[in-house]
Amino acid sequence: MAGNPDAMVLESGRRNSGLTVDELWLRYFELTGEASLLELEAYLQGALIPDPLQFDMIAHALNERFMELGHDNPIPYREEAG
Amino acid sequence: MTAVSEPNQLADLFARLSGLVFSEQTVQSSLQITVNLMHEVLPATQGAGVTLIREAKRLTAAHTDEVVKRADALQYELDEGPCLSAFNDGSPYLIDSMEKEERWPRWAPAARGLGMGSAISVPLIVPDERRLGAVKAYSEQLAAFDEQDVRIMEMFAAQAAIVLANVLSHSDAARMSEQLKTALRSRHVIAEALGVLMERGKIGEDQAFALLRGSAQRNNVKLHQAASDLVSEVANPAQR
Repeated sequence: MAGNPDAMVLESGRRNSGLTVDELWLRYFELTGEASLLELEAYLQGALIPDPLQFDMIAHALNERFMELGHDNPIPYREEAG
Repeated sequence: MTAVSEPNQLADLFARLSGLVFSEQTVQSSLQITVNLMHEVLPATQGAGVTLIREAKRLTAAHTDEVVKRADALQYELDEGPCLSAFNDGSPYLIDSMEKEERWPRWAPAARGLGMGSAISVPLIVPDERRLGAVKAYSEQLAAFDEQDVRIMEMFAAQAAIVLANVLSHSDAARMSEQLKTALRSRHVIAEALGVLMERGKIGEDQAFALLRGSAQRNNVKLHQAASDLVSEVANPAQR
C-alpha cells in the first residue's frame, strides 16, 4: 500500500465515511460495481489497482456517504462529469 | 437454475455479508429483469434471453418470447449457434443477416424460419474470467444492430454475470435481507439508465457513468434517484 495514491485516497475516504468494508461494498455494488468484496479490500489495501470506472464507482459510493453526513470534501473522480 | 447451483469463491465471500444471500428465485427474477431491460434499452430488439451453460448442460434461464426459446432449443439440438460460439470463444457475435449467415449453416436458416432477421450474442463472463453462458437479442429486421449495441449488450451481460456469480444455492428467498433486495433493485435501475445513456450518446460505460453522476450532482440527489428519474422519463415521455 505504501506509495499507492489510489489506495490511500480510497482507504482514508472509507475511514472518514465510517463505513465498514462490507457496507462500502454493498453501496458500490448498488452503483453497478463489478469487483467482489475481496477485490475491493485489495483496492483499499493497494494490492490491486481499480480501473478508472471502478475507482469512480467506489469514490461515488463514498461521496454519497459524505453527502449524507454533510461533509464537504468529496473524493475527486477520474472521469470528468458530463 | 441447476447450472449455477455450485457454491463458488465469490459466493463464499458473499456469505461474509452475514445474512445477505441471493436466492435462486432472486437470480431468476434478476435475469428476467436483465432481459427485459435489454428489450427496452435496445429499440431494435424484439426478443432477448439468457443461456446458462455448464459442462454439457445448456439451459435458457430467461427469455422474453417463444422465438428466443425455440431458437435456443435449436442451438442446443444442432450443437451450433451464436450463443454457443460466444460461450466457447468468450467473444461477442453480431449477426447482420440470418439469410447470409455462414458461420452456423444449420442453425441460421432455422432461426430465419422462426422469424429472426439479425441478432447479437455476447458471453456471460464473471470477473474471474469464468464463463457462465451467453445473452442474446434478436430483431425480425436485417442489420438491426451495430457495434454500439454489442457494447450495451456486454454491459448488461456483465451485470447479469455478477449477479449469477454471487449465487448461493438452496438459499431460501425469505433469508435475503431487505437491504440486499433494495441494493439489487437499485443496481438494476442504474444499469438501465447507463444503457439508455450509452444508446443515446453512443458512448461507453465510463462516460455514461460520468454523465449520470453529473446529473445527480447538479440536482443534488443520489445516483439511484437520478437513474430512476431518467428511466421514468424514458418510459413516460409525455409526462415531462
